[in-house]
Amino acid sequence: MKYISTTLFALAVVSSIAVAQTKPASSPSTDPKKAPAIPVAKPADASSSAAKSDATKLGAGEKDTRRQVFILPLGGMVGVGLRHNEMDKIEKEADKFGPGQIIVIRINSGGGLVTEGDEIAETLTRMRDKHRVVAWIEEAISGAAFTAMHCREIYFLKTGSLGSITMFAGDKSAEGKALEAWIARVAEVSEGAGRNAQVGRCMVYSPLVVSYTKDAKSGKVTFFDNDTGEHMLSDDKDNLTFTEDVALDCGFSQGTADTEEELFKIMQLKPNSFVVNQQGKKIGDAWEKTVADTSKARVRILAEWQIKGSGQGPAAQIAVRIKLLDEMLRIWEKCEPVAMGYEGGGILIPEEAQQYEDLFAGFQKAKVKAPIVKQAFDRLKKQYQKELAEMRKSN
Amino acid sequence: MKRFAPLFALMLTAVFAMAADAPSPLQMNQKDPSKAPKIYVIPMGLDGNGQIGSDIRLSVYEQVVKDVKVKKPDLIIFQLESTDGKTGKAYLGNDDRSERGRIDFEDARKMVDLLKTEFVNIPQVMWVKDSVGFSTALALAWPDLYMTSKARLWGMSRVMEFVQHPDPEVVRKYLAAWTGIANGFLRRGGYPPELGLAMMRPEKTLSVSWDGRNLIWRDDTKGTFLVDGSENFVANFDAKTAEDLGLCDGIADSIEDLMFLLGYREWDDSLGKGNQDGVKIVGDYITDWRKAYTKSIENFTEFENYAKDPKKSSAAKQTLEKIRSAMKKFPAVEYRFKMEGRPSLADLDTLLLQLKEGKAQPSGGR
Repeated sequence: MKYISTTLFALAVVSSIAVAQTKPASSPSTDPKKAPAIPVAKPADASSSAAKSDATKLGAGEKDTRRQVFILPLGGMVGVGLRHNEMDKIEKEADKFGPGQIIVIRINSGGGLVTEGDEIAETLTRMRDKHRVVAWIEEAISGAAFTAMHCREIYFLKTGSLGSITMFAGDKSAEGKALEAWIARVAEVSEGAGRNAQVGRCMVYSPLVVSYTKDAKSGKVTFFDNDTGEHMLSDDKDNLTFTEDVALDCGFSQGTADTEEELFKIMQLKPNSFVVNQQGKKIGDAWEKTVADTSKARVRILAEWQIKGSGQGPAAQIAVRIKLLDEMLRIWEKCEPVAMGYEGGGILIPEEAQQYEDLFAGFQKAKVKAPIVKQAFDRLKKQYQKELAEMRKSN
Repeated sequence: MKRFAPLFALMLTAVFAMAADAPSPLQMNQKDPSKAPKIYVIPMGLDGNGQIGSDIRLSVYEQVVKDVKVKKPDLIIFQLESTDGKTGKAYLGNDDRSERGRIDFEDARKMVDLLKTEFVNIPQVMWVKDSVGFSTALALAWPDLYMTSKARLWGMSRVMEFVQHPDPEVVRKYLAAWTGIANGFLRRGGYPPELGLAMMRPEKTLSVSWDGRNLIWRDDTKGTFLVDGSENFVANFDAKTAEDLGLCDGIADSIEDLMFLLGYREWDDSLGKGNQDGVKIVGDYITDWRKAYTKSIENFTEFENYAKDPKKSSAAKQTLEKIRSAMKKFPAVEYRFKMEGRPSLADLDTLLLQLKEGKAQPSGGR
């Protein structure tokens, strides 16, 4: 089955580089001191699920003024498992309680789509000015590191690693203007969240160098874009990836924690001043399940498209395919990244439906692609129904 | 206030690096040193079978955790026995390539996290009977490390297998990423990245100095003792070298020796003697999945024969269903099948579909 995925993917990478070159500097605050002061949370909205569970413990008329802590686990490929959409959802949940809630994004990802990075950047930049947004690192490589670095606070699990933000497509890493733009972009993100720009640059391009010196008394860290610092972070042969100890020592991270209890302690959350709102985990777990289920279904559907019904003749196979088109559409509606085939296997649009070029003209730019796919599938179904009718006539 | 600044800095560091580890396994550090501890042995690999990804994977340790919660031991001994190809000597050419491990770092990380967080209040010790390959990263996830006299800590250079790409800049990206991920395990054990990098990357050098019993590892040749001055070979450790350097806390060839080194003169080994500890759970798992795997290979050979004859499609379907069932019960079976170029679970489903439609091919391999 021939798909249009390769072209679309390449376009996605090219367009993201273009965005990186032309996008204005992130508008809201680049001043790390502008992180929201630790406020008193607005009384919980009675309609929120956390408020419901806490309301049972509060007296009648009593309002929960504790801050809500949302732990949002996001893993898998950036653009598939790790997306801005789930962050948008948790932002809405947090907004119900007013500014100053705490959102912990637990990241476990080896990277992914640059285009998704643009969306994540927009979401996190907006969120961090309203709430305390924190990255908790299990594994954050490439695009996942780029994601984490938008957070003003980063914590590691002891086994955590973060870095290596080299951009590449296929066999080639970014070069020339595209590379310069990407280096600048990551440096900007790094600085915008209160970190050293050169640290960001060294995660992108190995010839760049960064070292640091730490004052023994004050603990103040000074970075150098050469090797004159006391500690070499990244030499001219290596890309930069942090382990938890080095991240902590140079101030890149704010601490190391392996459990939520440990994390809350080092985030200096006072006992009884906060409550863990389960919406974060619900949203994260629900999306993880959706990705897993649709990925499995996709494999089955593709196999059935080729094989099912073929032993009983063309009419049987067409009848099967009409049903499979509905199943494919459901995947498009539930989990577009899986349907796009970002993790491999090609786009979930049969070759027979790809012939409708007029429908796919705006496909790449469409924010939600399912309606376009539905049109194509409806056309193909009509065509199949016509063929079926003709077969029945001739029989 | 100024003179307290270093103390405050230390306290702050302690606060901000709060990943608690298990209590010390040494007898002298116990709340009640006179108590004879009930010991619980958890093998990672057993009786010559220690393939990462099949014999050693997260799912079996989830069962172990449940059992530990019931048995409530006072001391856990992780017993690691995992050598690539069974000999760990790929250069001799007589190793069994199908027994080489292939790590899923996420699965391994979750396994280590599970064992560490669930057993956070139980003293633990890592006892390496032998380790060649990715298992060495597992071994170094525990700070209290003992080895048998013939044990090795070799083979972390296998991480370099993940670092393949035509573009040199992408190679550097992968190198930094994969070594960083692997070093996360060493960080869990409190070992520094310099040690891990020298064990993974040939061009890295390694030396060590001592401040009393504290090791100061260096990624150069300027330490008191040169461990690896070559730019062509990685650092590997045998038991004697590891003990001499202080990397391992002692050499013990038996549990009795190990307990002696830990300071115990008596202990409760009723769980082990009664076949009631992790040895039973892990041993049964390894026996069962390998049996299922061997049977699945036979079944697949039968399928290939049946599939040639359209009249035997029912029998062919049954053999595939048996393999499918084995894979669902033991994901390690699918893991081995995929490693050996045989069908995955998804491939089996496709073959079943083809059989149903009368289109099955004799060979389902890739």
